[in-house]
Amino acid sequence: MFIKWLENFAERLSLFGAWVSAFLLVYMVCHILTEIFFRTVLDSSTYSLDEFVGYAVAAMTFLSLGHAFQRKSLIRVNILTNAIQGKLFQFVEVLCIIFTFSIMAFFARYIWRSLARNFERGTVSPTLTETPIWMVETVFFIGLCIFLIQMLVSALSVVFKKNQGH
Amino acid sequence: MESLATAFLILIFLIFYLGLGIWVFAGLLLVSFSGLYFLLDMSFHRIGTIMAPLIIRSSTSWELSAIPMFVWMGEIMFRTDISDRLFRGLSPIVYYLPGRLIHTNVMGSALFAAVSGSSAATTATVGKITTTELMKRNYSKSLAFGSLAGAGSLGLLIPPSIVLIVYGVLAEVSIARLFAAGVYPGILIASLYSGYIIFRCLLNPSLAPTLDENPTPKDMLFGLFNLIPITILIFIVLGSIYSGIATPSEAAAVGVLATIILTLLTRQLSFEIFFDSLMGAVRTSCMIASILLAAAFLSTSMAYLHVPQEVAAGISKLDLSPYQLIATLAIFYIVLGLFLEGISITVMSLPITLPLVLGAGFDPIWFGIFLVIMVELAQITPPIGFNLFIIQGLTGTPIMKVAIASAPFFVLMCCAAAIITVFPQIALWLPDTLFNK
Repeated sequence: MFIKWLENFAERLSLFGAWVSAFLLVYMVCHILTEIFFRTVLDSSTYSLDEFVGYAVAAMTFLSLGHAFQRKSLIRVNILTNAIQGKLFQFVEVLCIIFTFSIMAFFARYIWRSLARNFERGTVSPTLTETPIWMVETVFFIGLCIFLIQMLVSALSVVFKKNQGH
Repeated sequence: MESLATAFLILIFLIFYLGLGIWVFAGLLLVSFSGLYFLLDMSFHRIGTIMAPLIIRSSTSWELSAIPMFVWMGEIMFRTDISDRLFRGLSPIVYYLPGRLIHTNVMGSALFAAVSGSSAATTATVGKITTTELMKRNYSKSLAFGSLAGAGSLGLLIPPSIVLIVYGVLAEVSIARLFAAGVYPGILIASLYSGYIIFRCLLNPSLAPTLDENPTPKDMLFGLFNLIPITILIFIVLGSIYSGIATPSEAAAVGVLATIILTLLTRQLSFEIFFDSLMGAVRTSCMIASILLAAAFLSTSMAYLHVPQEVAAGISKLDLSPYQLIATLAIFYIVLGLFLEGISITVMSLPITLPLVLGAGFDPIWFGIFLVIMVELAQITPPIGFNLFIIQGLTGTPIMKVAIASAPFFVLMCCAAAIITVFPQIALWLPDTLFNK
């Protein structure tokens, strides 16, 4: 029962990240079309295309990691996991999640350090918009946290559910 | 010798992590981490301070934005009647060719590839309609599935192409030039496929049976009307790039807008299709971008370990001629392609292979096209071949049967790679002419 609740919670959290990513994709299209219009018709520019679309691509990637993981859209070589079942499958699956969780948690830790430092120093981007870097990094960090939560819940699901594997 | 041992250990890490079933992007990060930690004795802190800023810098690259937008465009088209219109448009035109409707796989894929950057989208969209129609008319399963698997991979070569964008970003070459370079090799491969289908069906006409539906010239003319939507999209996407209105990344946004307007005008686009396509694009883009970010860290780790330089030095000691080098690389890519998909192959191998190829005097634009053909081969080789998976999903045919059906098209693609190696102008003529080299 608790596992089911956790699965629903993680799924909704990941879905929220994916919705924000979807919004960012629409934003990217709109910003690029606006830039083309400004350039070709008004002989002007939004002066922020490369920077903001770059932030949006990165935020999209990090925020949708949890959802892509949950929907099995992230690719893997599943020759081994397809060939095993039962307890062995559970063991290998959990091992894969532990490895992935460890490296992503390590990465998230250094993103956190970077955003904390940039917040303290008030670092801004070296562009016209002078965007506070910590704001951008916070979005990346939130995406990574969603992914880590989704992985934890997936590991618990594998451990506590029976009849897994192929 | 020490460097070869380093490269060997990296390979062991790679086989271990990916073979275990760890997600490719995480596997690449782990390989990089393990290399730096175990082989260079770097501290955790040092690795973290290299890794985090590098991945952030790579993830905010403007060039990457083209990927989600081209994927979204493909997702919208996949959910509308584009494939149905392609089939209805092409079938009267190809009816009198030996092989008849099997050519709709090749021509449909080549046309669809010109608006889609992905092999998976091309195979799935074209295959969605052609597999059913060809089976209904008792066409040879083997020829139908094989041609679809082979031709579906044209999505990677004929512009716009996601793999070419990835290559352009990594190799720091013009994406517009790469797109132009993919056109004639794409046409060459499609011609080889059609030629093979004609040859097989001349030898054995029962592979493509005749039915009582001989199309008249009027049918052919009406058929052409069905090709109008896709032709409009091709002109808008490629026209925006080559007229100078948009860069390749911006052309993706133009393509999305054009696809949305077109599907709205043809009353195909509902809110549900819009939303589903958007979410599908988010998931696929996340998969691609996460691998790219991990590969950026892998490249840096390899550089710290001096693997590319040492492997390049090792290979140069073998004193291979340029053609021998390309043949060796082709075998290397075919082996990689058995287990990995296209973007992983591109990002993992490029730090090592690109310096070698450039050192041997090959053009980086030409190598981009050669590499994409190698990646196309990977799409149709088991056990990991995306086009095989898609056809298996569409038809329920076991993957090995689809792989066997694809084998002649694999050989034809190898022939195409050999032809463009001997005659590089097939790839280079168009970009050189368009951009006045």
